[in-house]
Amino acid sequence: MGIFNGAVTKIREINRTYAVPRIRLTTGTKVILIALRIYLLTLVGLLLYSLVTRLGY
Amino acid sequence: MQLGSTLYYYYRRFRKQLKILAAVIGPGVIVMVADNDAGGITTYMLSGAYYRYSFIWIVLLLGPVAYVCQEMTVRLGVMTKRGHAQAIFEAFGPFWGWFSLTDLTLTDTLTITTEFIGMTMAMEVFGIPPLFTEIVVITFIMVLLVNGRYWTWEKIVLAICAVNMIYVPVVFFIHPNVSQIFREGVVPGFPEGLGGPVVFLIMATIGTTIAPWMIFFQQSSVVDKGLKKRDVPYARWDTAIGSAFTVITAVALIIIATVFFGGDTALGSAGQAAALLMPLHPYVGTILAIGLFDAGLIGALSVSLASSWAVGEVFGWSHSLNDRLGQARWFNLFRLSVMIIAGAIVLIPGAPLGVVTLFVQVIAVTLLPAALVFLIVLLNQEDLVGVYKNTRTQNIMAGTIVGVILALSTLYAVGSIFPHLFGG
Repeated sequence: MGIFNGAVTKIREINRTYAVPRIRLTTGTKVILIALRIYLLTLVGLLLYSLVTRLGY
Repeated sequence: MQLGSTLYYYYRRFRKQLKILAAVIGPGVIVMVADNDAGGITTYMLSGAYYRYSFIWIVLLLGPVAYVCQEMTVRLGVMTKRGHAQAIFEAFGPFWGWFSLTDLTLTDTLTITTEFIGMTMAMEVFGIPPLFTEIVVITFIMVLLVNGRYWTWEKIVLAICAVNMIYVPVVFFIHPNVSQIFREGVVPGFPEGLGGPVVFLIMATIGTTIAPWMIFFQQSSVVDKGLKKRDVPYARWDTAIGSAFTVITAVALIIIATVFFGGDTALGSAGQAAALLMPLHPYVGTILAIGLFDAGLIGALSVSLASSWAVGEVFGWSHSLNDRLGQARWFNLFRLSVMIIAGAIVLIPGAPLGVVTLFVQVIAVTLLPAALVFLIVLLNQEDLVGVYKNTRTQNIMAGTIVGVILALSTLYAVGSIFPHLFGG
């Protein structure tokens, strides 16, 4: 339990440390990052669907 | 007299540059040779067996492509003194940071599983049981860190990398038809058109040549080695030499596979190829098995480091190869755990290794476009990389590569998930 709590604290600390992106993002870069996020979420969704289907057999 | 002194000056300058190159050489050669890991060896063997010499031009083209991607990591590592994972966290925030780190760790664990599959298959050719192979390999990898010196580690791994070239001399002994190689292999074309399994194998070849772990590995390696701004030209040569090694080995494998298995679409893996060749051509079979084991070993050595370095950077653990085992205990413990998990998966009776091999490629594909986009964005930040900011030409080249990889990797991922789409 101590290790788990320690890990959670550490992850929170990391999230706080890197909360603000340290580079200036142009509008173009922001659009690319949003598109990338949608692309990845779709791909991960398809992947999970496939994994569940395959292991279900 | 004037000519003599000028020649002597150039000779001295060349010698000095060679000495510096010898000191800098390492990260580029290791990452590129590790690119021809157990999965890579199988991919090249299968492409030769299924489509003969037709894939040679693709491999020749992928060498420079891999160089363009990896060279960017050198500049970023030297200028920021940070690994790729930490650079992503700092530049893009926790969402992209955790996404990259989780995906990298998952991919690397599964990739190491495929390395163990390759190594155990290779050693089974000599009658060595898988459990014994795994214990010896994991012990060896961890013992390499006992010394606590990056330089020692690097030189030993470079020696292991040299064994990866074992396939090249074989080509000269088996006397392939050179004019046929040029006719079928060097002139671009697609066997049986661009449909069905050809697309799948092309994508697998791309996937094995440019992998996300390579970006993380080389950047962290450059940082751990302590390369400086003045070393960048030599580090570029290091990457270019490594890229040439990769291409030469891959072409040699395609030629060997064509000569012995050309047209045999029943071949399933490099391990199977080695076992099949043992009774007929024991020397070639032995070399194939040794090469496959070596490829798996280099892969396990490098891939396990890529994720351990990344996790170590982000969690703030001591994560240098210059640290002794005890000093960097979390880093080493993480690396050991990843290898034990990967090794255990291979030993589970009836484990779905086919699904593992398939999913490792797909998960890698999900990370690759993101990792490459981050690389380009970071290399356009002048306050971050200064004079080593991407030029317009570098951006066009890298952007084109990302575009093509994005399109092909999407096809590959979707094709892996829904095989019937490509008639698989």
